[in-house]
Amino acid sequence: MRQRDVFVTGMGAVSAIGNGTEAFSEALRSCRSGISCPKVLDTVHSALPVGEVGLGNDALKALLEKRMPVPDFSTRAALLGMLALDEALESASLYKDDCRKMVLVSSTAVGGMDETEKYYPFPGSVEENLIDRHDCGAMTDAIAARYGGFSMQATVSTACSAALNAIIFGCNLIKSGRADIVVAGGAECLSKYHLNGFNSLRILDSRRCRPFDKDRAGLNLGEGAGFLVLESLSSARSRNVSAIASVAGYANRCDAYHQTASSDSGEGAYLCMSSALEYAGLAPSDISYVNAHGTGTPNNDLSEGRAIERVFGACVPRVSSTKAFTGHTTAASGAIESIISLIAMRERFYPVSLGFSEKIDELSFVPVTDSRACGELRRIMVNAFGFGGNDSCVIYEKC
Amino acid sequence: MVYVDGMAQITPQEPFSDKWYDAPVTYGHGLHPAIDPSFAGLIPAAAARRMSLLQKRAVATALSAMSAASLEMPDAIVTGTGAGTMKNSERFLSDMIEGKGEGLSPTPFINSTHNTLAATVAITLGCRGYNTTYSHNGISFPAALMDSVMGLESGCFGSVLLSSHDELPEHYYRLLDDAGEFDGEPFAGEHSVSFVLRAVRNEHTLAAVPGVEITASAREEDLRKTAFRACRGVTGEPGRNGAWQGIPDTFQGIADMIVTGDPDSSRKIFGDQVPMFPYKEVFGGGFSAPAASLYAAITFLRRNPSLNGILVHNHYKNRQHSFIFAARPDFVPVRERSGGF
Repeated sequence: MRQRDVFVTGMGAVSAIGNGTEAFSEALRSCRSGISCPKVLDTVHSALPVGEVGLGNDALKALLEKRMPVPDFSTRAALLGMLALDEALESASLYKDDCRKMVLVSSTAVGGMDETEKYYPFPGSVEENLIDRHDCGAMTDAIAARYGGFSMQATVSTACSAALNAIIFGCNLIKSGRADIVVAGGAECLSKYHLNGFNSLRILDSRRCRPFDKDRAGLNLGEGAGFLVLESLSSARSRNVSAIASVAGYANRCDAYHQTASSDSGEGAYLCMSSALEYAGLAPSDISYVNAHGTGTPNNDLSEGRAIERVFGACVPRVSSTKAFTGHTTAASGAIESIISLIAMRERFYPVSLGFSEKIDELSFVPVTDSRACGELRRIMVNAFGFGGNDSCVIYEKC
Repeated sequence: MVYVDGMAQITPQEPFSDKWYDAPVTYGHGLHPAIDPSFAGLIPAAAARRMSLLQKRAVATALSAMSAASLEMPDAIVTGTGAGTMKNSERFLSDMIEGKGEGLSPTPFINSTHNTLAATVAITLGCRGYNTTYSHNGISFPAALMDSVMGLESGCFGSVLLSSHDELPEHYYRLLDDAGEFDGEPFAGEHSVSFVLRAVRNEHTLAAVPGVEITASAREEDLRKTAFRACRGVTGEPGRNGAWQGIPDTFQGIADMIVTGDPDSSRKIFGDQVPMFPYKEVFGGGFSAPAASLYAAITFLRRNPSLNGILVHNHYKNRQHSFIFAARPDFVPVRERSGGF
């Protein structure tokens, strides 16, 4: 088994199921979904269910300012990111002044598009020009600025796998000796652009999504943010903090098949899961739980399911998708679902696949549906796959 | 340390050529798009029809750099882009507003995700290896290079196709310009640049890259220290390698030239003893301009035998600075020299 040299010493998240890991835990255990019709997002598609964080930008800002001031003109994704980062730092016993020695690696697909779509087509006064908040990096820089800056900031943008790729980059920064502590994750907000984009692809379910169900009909878009504090062993020891888990292995592979569809055999998904196991020095039977990408689209769940069967053979471990709780939080999903899985590891329960009723004909396994199921989640695998065939997988191991 | 074995550019200078070195196209202020080559013959016609212009540039520079390096399939594709395929984003946005969200064509949406460029190249090549995209304004390319270097140095992969691409549609440029994005820059340009990197030096090697560093500190002492680390091929904090006996005030004798995106800022950090090349006067500014600065530095090394090592300095609004050191292929970094330093 490969030596474990990167540890998770803190985490924080916000999504439709609540602000913070305690709210997440309560929702997951009581099977309370956060999917509803949009209330904050102003859209003509008002009947399409989404996973919305039920607070407007002013309310988010007010919540954040109880702790620390928020930079002017912060976009919604940045505000959500700040909420998750506050919790992540606090849980790792890190303070604002520590940040200048740490690296921040965030991810987003939308960036500041929720503001851009309001003024871009209607050039008006300079006051309305928030173009310097549009790009992905601007979101990360705004989050970092609130803490007085980090030693370095970077942003990954590989669509729906971006947060896992941010976590992978963070681990590599630590392993190479470039950093001792990296905060890695992602933030995404709902926007008209994103909702209309997914709607134009005809992959949104008009009901709550039903991952791995025979009659699944698409995904629900979500928003939120999640950050993990990744730390070297020597740093965690010298700070005398305990680790939630170690990062046992990871891999990033490309399906190289189609811009939006997954290959029938799930080649990219298979390659990233099997390579992550190999990198960790683990056998498939070492995995206790797989938090699948499981978007609820007919294409993803079948392709991913086949890839899971190829990796695990006849002994598929417990598998679920938690997207019927949060919606698909796209670029942030890898971080949010890592945190969901780490909560489950810590509290010894298996998160369920809400909305499942009947097995997919082509697959041999059914997802977790019993919220009372409990056990030792020794090693967990988290998948996130994106447009362009960008497929990533991270394995966490209990310390 | 990693090696650059091939490179190709589509910028406001003549594409796939180093004619700019002897006779650059000169530009005044304003927006100056890239000069496109004829893509016929470079990209299969059927595939090209489905691609937007920036996707074509991405595939064309990738194939050209790979051909120069005699690489058929990279182990990894790592890409930087500040704003992605902005023309597709604009098109979907305007379709959405005109159609009030009904009957939208998904094509511009699909092709507006930032990783579309790297995905298009991966699909064209059938490359199933590591594939990621960094999108962080002017730090996008340095971050992509840092990822590539870590992958090559750790042995995770042996070759990387490293690229950076950005386009500047007129309206986006105007909004950015109004917001002061190009203040103090000679002009705004578009850049698509691809490199082939390998872990091991070979007969195709054009240059060695001993180090790449990024820092969000704006303190001159920190910046000198970070730049010094890049030049010496030393990662980690000072002291770890025993290679830190005082940072020089001037980089004379360390770098023979500084290719810089901002000569005023470089002078503040390094003084004026080392000759500087303000590359944006030739290539223009933009999120992917730092990729053109590494391309320019390597061209200098190829064309001028008196240059041994060139420091490449960029910063984005003084929020973050990046330093890349490019040297002749036979450069030996400090940690590999006997007796330390």
